[in-house]
Amino acid sequence: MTPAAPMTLGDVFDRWFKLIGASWLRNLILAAILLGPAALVFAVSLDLGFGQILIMDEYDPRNLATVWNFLGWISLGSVIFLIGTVAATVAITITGCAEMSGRPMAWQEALRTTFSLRLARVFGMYLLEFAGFGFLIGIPYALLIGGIAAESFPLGFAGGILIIVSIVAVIYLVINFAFTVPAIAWEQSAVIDGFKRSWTLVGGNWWRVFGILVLMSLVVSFAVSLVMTPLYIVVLWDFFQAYFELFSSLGGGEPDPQIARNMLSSFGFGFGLVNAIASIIQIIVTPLYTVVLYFDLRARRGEFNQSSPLPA
Amino acid sequence: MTVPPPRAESSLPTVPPDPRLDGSWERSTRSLNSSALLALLGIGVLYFNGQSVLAIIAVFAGGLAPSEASGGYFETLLKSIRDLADPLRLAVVLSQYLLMLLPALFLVRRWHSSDVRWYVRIARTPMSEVLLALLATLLIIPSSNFIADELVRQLGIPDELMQIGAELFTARGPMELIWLVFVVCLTPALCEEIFFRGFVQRTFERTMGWRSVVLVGVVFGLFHFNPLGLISLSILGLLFGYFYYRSRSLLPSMVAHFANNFLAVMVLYGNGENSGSSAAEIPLWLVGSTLPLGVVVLVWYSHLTARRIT
Repeated sequence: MTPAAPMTLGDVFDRWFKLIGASWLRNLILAAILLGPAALVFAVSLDLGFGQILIMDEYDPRNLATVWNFLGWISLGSVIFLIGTVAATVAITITGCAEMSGRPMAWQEALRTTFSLRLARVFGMYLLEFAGFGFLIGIPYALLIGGIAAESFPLGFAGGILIIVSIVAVIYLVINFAFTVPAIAWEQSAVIDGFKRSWTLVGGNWWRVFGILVLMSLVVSFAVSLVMTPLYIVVLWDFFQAYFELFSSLGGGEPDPQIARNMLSSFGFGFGLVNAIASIIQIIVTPLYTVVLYFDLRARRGEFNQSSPLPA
Repeated sequence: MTVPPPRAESSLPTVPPDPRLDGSWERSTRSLNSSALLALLGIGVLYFNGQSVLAIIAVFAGGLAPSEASGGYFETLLKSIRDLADPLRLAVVLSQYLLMLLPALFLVRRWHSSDVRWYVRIARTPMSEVLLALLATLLIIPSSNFIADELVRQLGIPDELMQIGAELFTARGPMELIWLVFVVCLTPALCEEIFFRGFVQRTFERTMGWRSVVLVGVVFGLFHFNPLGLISLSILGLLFGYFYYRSRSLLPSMVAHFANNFLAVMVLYGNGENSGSSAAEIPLWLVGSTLPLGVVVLVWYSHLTARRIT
């Protein structure tokens, strides 16, 4: 399946769909193993969090502690979910790269390969990216806030302009570093080498990569919303029932607060569950388009013209 | 778990390529399923995002001045929707022709065949088949609508909200009715049938055979982003797909699609101010008596078109 020649736009989509078709079951198993438990913790955290909000009484000084409990549960669930998402991204990238190299890999092997130095490096990569992009956006934002607080027009104006510049810079960098995960997960590069490798691959093809990534992410989000819209209604049936009851009670003057409580109590777990399903669907297709583009960019650099073996 | 060997794309017997299949996708080694899937998702993204943009433009161009409405919250909301109905209908028409029909025809021509009419199967078909398709649709509509109504009832959606939802499809006079028939009946029957059946189902059919009817029928239901209507819309999608698959022509499914939408518009027109309320509920006896007849007509249709399938 390795591309010997650069791909056209149609080829890229064709390869992507074929890659999804060839590896979906293995990727679904990987996503269920790596993301399933994390998603469950996330759903339970949301449920407990909303449970805390429900026992809140007005004018009670303990409300602050309740809000902290709520935020604590939500944060815990989100962190565990993020860890699961990163692990699943690495595992599915490895499966996709193996498939593209013409050496399909079973899910057990992909799982074993994931839990190695590569996963730690990908975590490191995301932390570095998060810190770097946060710094890039944060500094002008702080300038803007400082300018408003000090009532200084030049400072605030400079902050505003710099925010726009930093957003453009972040987009530029995100595209250039889009292939760091395959570089680390498949080529076993170190973090900084992975960034350099991705930058080299994108070089000269920035607009093409940008356009295709935007197109593919639009297609994925549309496909996920197609599947998820009816699922939202099914899983959150009780929530919507309470919502429409509340809506009906609007016509009769004061809405019943008990209905709002029913709404909140039936929201947490269902919402967490639907979110988890959406993430699993998204994760089994999203890393694969990066993989296809990664191989296309390598073909464009003539890497498959030599008879050197592919790194595993 | 071992990795399964690669599967053949098609279980259908190999036939020599038709010379009319002269598009770029046909000359490549790409999968036909990829073409159908890419068109489905690509045109879907274009259509829904474009429709939102067109709706915003149309609403702003039509003037956003809030109208005075006496009464409560629902009455104000209903009045606002009435004021915005025409710009929104215009956005629907434009997006159906410009963002669904034109891209679909363009992609058929570019990827599959320069003979677009032949590819999407705009072909003559015996009048008896068209009439049977129409009859089957009319007999199955009560059952499919009953399911949607029951879900609405179970969820407890207030009548007022349903009325707001139905407002865009309700005509207040004969001239508006003619415009609405064009917007809601004729346009989707043409654009959606050419896109879903003529392009997507036709392309999937070449590798999946009859299974394309099921796949595209369900996708047709999902594409309406109406979760409570998913089952009834999928039933209609299956029905239209079945007519297309059996007759090898777009005409029966177009007529059936037109009839379904026309019936809905006429019922809302007949109900007037009560549109969307429980006054339009379908009695169970009607479902019980029309569904078996619909199945009988479908079997008849199947016999009538059997010659074409073999």
